[in-house]
Amino acid sequence: MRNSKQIVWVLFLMLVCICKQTIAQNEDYEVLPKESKYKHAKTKLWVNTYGKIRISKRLYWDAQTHFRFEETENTPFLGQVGQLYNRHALGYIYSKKVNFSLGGVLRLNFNTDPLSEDRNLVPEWRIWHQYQFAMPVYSATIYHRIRIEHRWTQGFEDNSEYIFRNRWRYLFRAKIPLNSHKLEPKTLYVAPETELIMQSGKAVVGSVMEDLRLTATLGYILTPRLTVAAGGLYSMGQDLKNAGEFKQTFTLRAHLYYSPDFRRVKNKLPAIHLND
Amino acid sequence: MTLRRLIRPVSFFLFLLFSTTSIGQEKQKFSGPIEIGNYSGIAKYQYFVSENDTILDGAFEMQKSNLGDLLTNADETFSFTGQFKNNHANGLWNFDFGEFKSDSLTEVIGFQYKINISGLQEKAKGNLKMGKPDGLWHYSRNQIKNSELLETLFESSIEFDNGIPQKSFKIKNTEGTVVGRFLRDGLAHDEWTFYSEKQLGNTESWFFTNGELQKISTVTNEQSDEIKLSKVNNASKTIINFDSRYIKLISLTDNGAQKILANASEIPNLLAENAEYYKKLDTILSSLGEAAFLPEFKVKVAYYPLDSLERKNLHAISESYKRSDSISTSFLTDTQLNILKLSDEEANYYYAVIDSISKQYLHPIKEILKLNDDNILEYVDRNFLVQHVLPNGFPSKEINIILSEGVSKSFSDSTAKSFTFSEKSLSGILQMTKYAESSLNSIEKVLEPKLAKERRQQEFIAIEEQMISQIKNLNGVIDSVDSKFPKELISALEQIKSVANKNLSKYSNMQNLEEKLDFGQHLTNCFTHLEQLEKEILTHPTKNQEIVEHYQDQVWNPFMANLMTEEIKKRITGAYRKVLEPYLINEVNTNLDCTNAATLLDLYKATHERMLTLRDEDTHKLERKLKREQDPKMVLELMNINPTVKKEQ
Repeated sequence: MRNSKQIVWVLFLMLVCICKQTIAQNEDYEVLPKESKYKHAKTKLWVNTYGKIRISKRLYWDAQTHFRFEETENTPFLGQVGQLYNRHALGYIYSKKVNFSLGGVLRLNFNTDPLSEDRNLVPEWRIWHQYQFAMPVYSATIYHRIRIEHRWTQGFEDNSEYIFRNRWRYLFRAKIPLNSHKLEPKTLYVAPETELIMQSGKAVVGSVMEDLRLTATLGYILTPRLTVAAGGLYSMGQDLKNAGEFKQTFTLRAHLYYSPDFRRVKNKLPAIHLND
Repeated sequence: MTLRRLIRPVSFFLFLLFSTTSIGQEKQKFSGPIEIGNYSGIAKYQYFVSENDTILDGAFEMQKSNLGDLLTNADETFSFTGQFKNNHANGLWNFDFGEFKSDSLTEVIGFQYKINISGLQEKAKGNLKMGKPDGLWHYSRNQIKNSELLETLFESSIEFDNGIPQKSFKIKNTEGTVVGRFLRDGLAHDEWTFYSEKQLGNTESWFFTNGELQKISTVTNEQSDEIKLSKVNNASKTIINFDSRYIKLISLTDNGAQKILANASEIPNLLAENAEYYKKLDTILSSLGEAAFLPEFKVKVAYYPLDSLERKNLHAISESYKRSDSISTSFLTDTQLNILKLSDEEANYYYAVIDSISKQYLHPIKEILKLNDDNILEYVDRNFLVQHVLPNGFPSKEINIILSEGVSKSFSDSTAKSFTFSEKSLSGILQMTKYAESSLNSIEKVLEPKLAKERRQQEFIAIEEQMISQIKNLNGVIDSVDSKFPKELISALEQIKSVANKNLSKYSNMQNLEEKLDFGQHLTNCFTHLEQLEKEILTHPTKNQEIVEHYQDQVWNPFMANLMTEEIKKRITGAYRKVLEPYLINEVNTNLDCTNAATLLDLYKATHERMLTLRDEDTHKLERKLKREQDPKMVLELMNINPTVKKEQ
């Protein structure tokens, strides 16, 4: 009871903030430059862990923790901590090729502007749901992922208000085995991927393309339950404040995928037969 | 008051009830299913119980017919009705048998369904007097088509007086008809004649005088033939039934009769057919009560009863014959002897002697014993009998064998002098039988050791042939292995080969023949096991692969969205790979010999089988215990692998 009251209170507060912010933004606006401006590309390093923990025949717990670093003036890539990222969801296995998830994100944003005198750390909240479809193509598999996020963010300034945005993400990815005819343990694979992240909301004026991410990853399947991968990402997107300005990043990424299954053996069998 | 009034009627009623039940106990009725021999059907009869025996008395009926069977396939029906008196069939009896099929076409006439049947029908009707036929008996067998009589296949009419056939009789089948007459005591008399139905004019006549057969005459295609039977005047006479035994007897005692009987067999055949139908009724009546339902056609023959000495001699002949026959048959059919006689002159000679004894002595004796078994001996003069079975007289005690052209050798047993067989009687035959037995015994004493030696030599040859082929296989396997085959398994194969070769050279160095033969037999067993062990080693990689595949499970990988195979129960497969498999191979490489080959072979098989079954068992505890276990014997025990093979002595 107490929890739900708090949630209702928090939601109310958020709504108030969003309204206030939109009202506030109505008053001042940016002038678009004559030509698009590309900012200097930042370098970053992401270390991501992805867990999918099986809890029943059709449900799993999706647990992701990402450590995101970015450059400082003297040190590229891992000069300072940018964000700590916690994404959780309850996943539903519809079939071997189709699954859905619904959950929340708590992201901790560190203030990376060395000149800023504002707060050093602010939280960011999201509710997200995702629909993933896999398709085998020859020895490779391609994946379509639609992810929709409802996002509440705030600036580092004291008393900064939360702004609400929706994010519309589509990711296309292929995993192509290099040393085997299929994705199986002891397989090295290459995974090119592209993700387009669009956004909407009152705070979004013009800058609807938040991010376009182009990635190349090399992965290795250690066991059916453990995979490692690493790669590079180039991304660019419109600045929220001015749609004429584009941010750019070069990011090195390292991933660890694990999928343990703690069910008792007798509940596990038959492990794979979902529809019979 | 009211109670007293009731006493009288109630007591009267009780009296009535009691008296009826006591009468009821004397004679009872049965109605229900019963089985008599091959016949089972519904019966109704009256009976009483005396000293726990069911005594049939009164009306009896039993029948079976099944419309369902008739319509679907065929129905076998029967119906017996008659009377019993004190467990004897008595009074008028009717028997009906049928084997019918139907065309399943029905017709309604009035209030009844009518259905046509086709098949065979048998009917018998007549009077019985205390279980014996009395008066005229009529038996017929008919072919029925569409519920109408098509043909009479058999028919007989015989009149009886208290079981004894009287006056004249007539028996008819599709071949023809026989008619004849009897004296009052049932003895055949006058002319009995068969008239052929198929060849008009053909007849067969048997002439009797007071039961004694005088002559047989036939007319076949207008050619007549006649044989008079030799008379035996000085012998006493007895009466026997006119049956197959009688026919055998007359063809034995009279050469002429034997010849004519080859063509004149219609009368005996018809009588035999009739007797068979009578036997059928007798079986039914005898299993119900007491009966003697037989045609009892009587004839008179010469009679030479067996006295007690003759019976004793016959018994002795029979016993001695059995022993002799067993010796001669076993030698004559012995494959060893049959081969040996081709190369060994002595064996050839004795084989010929045995063959001669069998033909000259044992065959005639067998004939006499056969006649005794047929119960004919009593009606044949013994002198005649000996003459009959030994037309050339008694065989000589000295058996002459022609070994090759112009070279002959005679055999005479050392005991020859103590036997004399010249008297044409059973005691003469006994002497002859005994001499044959004694001769065969002497020959056996000479031949048996000769054959035993030969057999042993053959055994050596057989064992050595087997061993050589086995050792060839054992040595050849290693050459067929390709270069990718695991080295430790190649060395195991080499070890098996070397164990086999060592044992073979041990065998060839042995001097004592008895021991050598035993060891040879032991070695063929050992080589068989070694061969199997080689096969096991050869298939070991395949079996390992089978285990690897067996211990794989399909796991869904959520990141790849596909199924991946994963090894399960790694502790068990680990214990197999790291402890058991090296142990098994090492055992072959270091400890293999003939005494443990079978055990090792079984251990290989048991381990493989156990690995396959363990996958689907609950092995939580086992896996925990296997964690650090390095001792193969402990691992075998934990996994419960215990080959149950007998250790070779």
